[in-house]
Formats: sequence, structure tokens, C-alpha cells
Amino acid sequence: MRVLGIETSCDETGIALYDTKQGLLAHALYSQIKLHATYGGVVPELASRDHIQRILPLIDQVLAQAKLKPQAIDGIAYTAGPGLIGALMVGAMCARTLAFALQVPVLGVHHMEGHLLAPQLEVNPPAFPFVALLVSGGHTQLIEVRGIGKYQLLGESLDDAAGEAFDKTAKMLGLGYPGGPKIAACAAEGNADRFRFPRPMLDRPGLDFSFSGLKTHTLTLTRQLAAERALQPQDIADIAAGFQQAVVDTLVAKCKRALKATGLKSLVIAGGVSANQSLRTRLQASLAGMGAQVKYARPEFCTDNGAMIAYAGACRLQAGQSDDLETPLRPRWPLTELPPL
Amino acid sequence: MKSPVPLLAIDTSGAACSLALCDTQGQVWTHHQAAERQQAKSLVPQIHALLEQAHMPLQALQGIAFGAGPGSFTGLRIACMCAQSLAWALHIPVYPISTLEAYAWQTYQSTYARYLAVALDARMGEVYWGLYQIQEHSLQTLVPAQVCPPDQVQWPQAYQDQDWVGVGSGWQNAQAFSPWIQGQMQQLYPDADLKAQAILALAEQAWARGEGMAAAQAQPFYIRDQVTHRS
Ligand SMILES: Nc1ncnc2c1ncn2[C@@H]1O[C@H](COP(=O)(O)OP(=O)(O)OP(=O)(O)O)[C@@H](O)[C@H]1O
Ligand SMILES: [Mg+2]
Repeated sequence: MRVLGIETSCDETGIALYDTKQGLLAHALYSQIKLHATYGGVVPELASRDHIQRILPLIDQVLAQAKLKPQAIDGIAYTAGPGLIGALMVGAMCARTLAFALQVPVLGVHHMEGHLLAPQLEVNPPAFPFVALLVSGGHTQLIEVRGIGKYQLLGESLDDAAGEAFDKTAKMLGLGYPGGPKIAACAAEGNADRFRFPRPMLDRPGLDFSFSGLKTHTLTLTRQLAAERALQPQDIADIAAGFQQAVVDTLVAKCKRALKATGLKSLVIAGGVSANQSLRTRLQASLAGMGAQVKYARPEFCTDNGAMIAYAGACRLQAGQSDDLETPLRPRWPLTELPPL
Repeated sequence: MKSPVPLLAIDTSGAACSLALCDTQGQVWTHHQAAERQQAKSLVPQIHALLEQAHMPLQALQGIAFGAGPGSFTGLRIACMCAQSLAWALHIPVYPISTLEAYAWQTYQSTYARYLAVALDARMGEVYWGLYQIQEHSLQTLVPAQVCPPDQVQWPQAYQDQDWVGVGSGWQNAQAFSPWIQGQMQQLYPDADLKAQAILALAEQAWARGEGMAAAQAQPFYIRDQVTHRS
């Protein structure tokens, strides 16, 4: 079954074709980062206006890459939530109309299930069951995954998501948007031990996270430094390194706790922050110590993309699941409400 | 008699889901339903139902028209994305039609008024407006679509004393326009509801002029481009 995937939940238009026999046939992405950069964050109306210009040209591009005609599409998957309602609507209208015109089934996919399953597109895909750490711009969750649609929430952030903390801290440090990659690059030049950052919630039991305190800590620290003298690039690099290490330490510690609590030996990290090299390296090293291993997607499939939506949709469409054309969008949609495969 | 062009017209620029279909015999089929906030859900099923009612296969269509704006941004995108996708799948052109022009044409058809000042409530204390004239059965634009507060709406002296007819929700608060503009108006239709038949009629004319465009090129006419304030 060949499935067209359409992702428009936020500020990237992602399109892909996935074949349940041959794997990923083609994918294309248009990122609106430059469009929103001057505003320091995503402007929803501008995001929607951009998606509607990109979506069909990207579908053409993906079909051309795969050397296929529209008639070769057997099913369509689109992101139905969570995300920005106006942006979701553009992708949903495209998917539903194409499904009607091409007379193929259509399915609204959960964006976070897309992220969660993205590592399945890699050569050595993770096998169920595993513990998943979803770390993105809007989510920080630990989930026990027994199979597709068999999700149990183990813990989550009580305030900011990890990606959001990266973004806000980068803004504070004048590093630009999106913050994750900028902080990571800047941290590479810094000394993580120069400033002490708190390790939120590590002293408490449980698997929940909290990142807003780290952000406040960074703000106080930069203000204190700036009151003495103008911030030097080295100061900023040291703050970035300290901040990143604090986030990574916290994530690593909670992942280990989750593995112990569930007795599982396999961890999957997904979502934009899972592209972070320091997180990957640290997890690898510390899980090896407990006989567990970590898997993740290639960096371009950590952030939003069409391939993960095509894949998640293909799994469910192939199992016979589909939506009627009137299924509502779900701007807010708990992952645990998904039906099992 | 000219041969009919099988076209589908879609409008979701306002509170309704409005469709008009010209079949291969030239017969026009319509569907108009209040659908506030339901358009994304109901549009495709309703197109499906209308085609079935007309016993017309989707593949017989030769063009898709849509109410391109101004209007609700989300509504414009719903119709636009649907029109784009249908046209893409069928390899046929799209006809983006100005909603202000469609209001003018619709009002001309029902009242024979020939001087039409269309104004739509644009929220934030502004109106979308444009000025149109009918000459020899065709619509001419005198002042193209724009957005501003109603008291700043003005048009050249040359157009005065022409039995102007005001159409659209922008006239619900007619007192907000300048006394001079108010004095120009002979008749107001502030409650007019746009029907897709008017989009279809203008699309037939656009078709005759060869103005169709490739699916992905068809975009909404937002008119208001200031959607955020730079911090
Ligand atoms: N190398 C990196 N290190 C840390 N964070 C990163 C890195 N690359 C991307 N990010 C962060 O990942 C986030 C974007 O990821 P993603 O696209 O998955 O999130 P989103 O789609 O905005 O949110 P969600 O998926 O929760 O709806 C941003 O917050 C970005 O700063
Ligand atoms: Mg995402």
C-alpha cells in the first residue's frame, strides 16, 4: 500500500510517500523558519498562508522523485492534531479532497504518534515494547509503548516542554529561533561547569518534569552578569553549555528511572530535541551501564516531517482503519486516546 | 447557444457552505447551507452529494471556481485548498473569484442595479470594500478591493450621483461611513448572503476569457496583510 503523508501542524510543510512493502519512497520538506524568525516564534496566520502555497508543489516534487503518478496513491494520511488549528485545516482539506478525488481511504494521524514512530523508518528499527521519551517543542513525555496505539503515560512536563525551554533560553541569550540547534552549537564552545544550574525534580520521586525553573534561573544569571559587565560571547557559550547539560542530565535521569520502573531495556527518543547530540551521546553511555539501549531517528526525522505521518498513517490504514470525511480535527488530543492497532 | 462548461463553484468565505454546479447539459445545481465553523467538515461531503444529485461524475468537470476573498481567512483557505486539490487531481484549471465582485454580480442579477458599492465587515473597525459598475452585461471594477475604516471609504467625484446600491455586511453600520458616502447611497442590502451561483457566473466569464490558472497558483485574496505586530 502506497500512502501519501501530509504534515502541516506547525511551521513545516512535510510531504512523503511511504510504501508498506518498499519503505519510504520519497519525502520533501519546506520549513518556514525564516518566515517566523523575525517574530521570535510562529505566527499562526502566516503559517497557514504559507502551507497553502507549498503543499501541492511539494506533492508534485515527491511524486516526481518516486517517479509515480497521483493514481499510484492508495491512501492518504494527514496530521489531524495536536497543532495549530488553522495550519492543520490546510493539510486536512488537501488530504480529504484528494482522497475523495482519487477515491482512496484517508486517515487523520496523531502528530506525536508520528514522532514516536519516526525511528521505525531507520535501518535497525526499535522493537516493541519500549519506553519512549517524546521531547519536542510542545511535549515532554515518557510513555510505555507496547505496540502501535498501546500507550501508557508514565510522566510528563508540568510546565514548559524541553524544546520550549531551549527556544526561550535561546531568545534570552539573543541566539535566535529555533533555539535548540542554536544552543547546541553555542554550547559546543562553552564550559558547562562554569555556572551551576539546578536539576529540576531530580530530588523528587516520579517521572514528571519541570523546565520553567531552568529558564528563570538563566534569566537571573544573565541579569546578574550583565549588571557587572557586558556579556561576552564566552559567557553566552558557558551559559548555553550549562543550560543544555542541566536539561540533558534531567532527561537522562528520568529515562533511566522509567526503564527501571517498567523493567524494559529499550528506550526510544523522538521529537525535535531528540536530535540533540549531547542527549544522544549521554544516553548511549549511561544506558550501556544498565544493559539497555537507545534508538532514535536521523536528525531530519526528529523535527516535524511528512515521512513520520506517512508511516504512522500507513500502519493504521493497512490495518483497515480510516476516517470518514467529516472527522473533526483535534488541536488538543491526548496520545493515550488513540485506538490500538 | 453557447455550449455549457461543466464547472463547480465553491464558496466558504462567509458563514455558509455554498456550492453551484453547471452540468454537461448546462443545468445549474446548487446547495447552500449555513455552516459556521463546520465548513472544513462538511464541504467535501456536500460536493459529493451535489454531484450525485446531478448524476455527474467528478471527471466531467472542466474547472473549479472558488470565492477567493476577501472574507474569513480560514474560510477562504478551506475553499481554496479544496479547489486546488480537486483541480490538481483532475488536471483542470482553477478560477479564483473575488467575493466582492460576486456580491456585485449577484445584486445586479436580482435588482438590475448597475452601480454597486460592496462592503464587508472586516472586524477590527474596518471594512473590505470595492466599487463596481455593470456595463453591457459585464462587471467592471471602478475601485478594486481594499480594507480601511468605513469613515475613510471614499471614491472619485466622477462617480457621484449614480444611484449607488450598497451591498454586504459592511453596510450594517451605515452611519460609520462619511456623510458624503451616505448621501450617495440610494439603497442598501446589508443582509445579502453570497451564493455560489454568482461565483459560477463570473467563473464562466473568466473561462471564456481563458483566465484559468494551475491548481497550486490559485491563492486566496486576503486583502488584509497586516496580521501581526512586530515586537
Ligand atoms: N539539536 C537540538 N537540540 C535541542 N533542541 C532541538 C534541536 N533541534 C531541534 N530542537 C528543538 O525541537 C523543537 C522542534 O521540534 P518539533 O518540530 O518536534 O516540535 P514541534 O512540532 O514544534 O512541537 P510538537 O511536536 O510537540 O507539537 C524546537 O523546540 C527546537 O528548539
Ligand atoms: Mg512536532
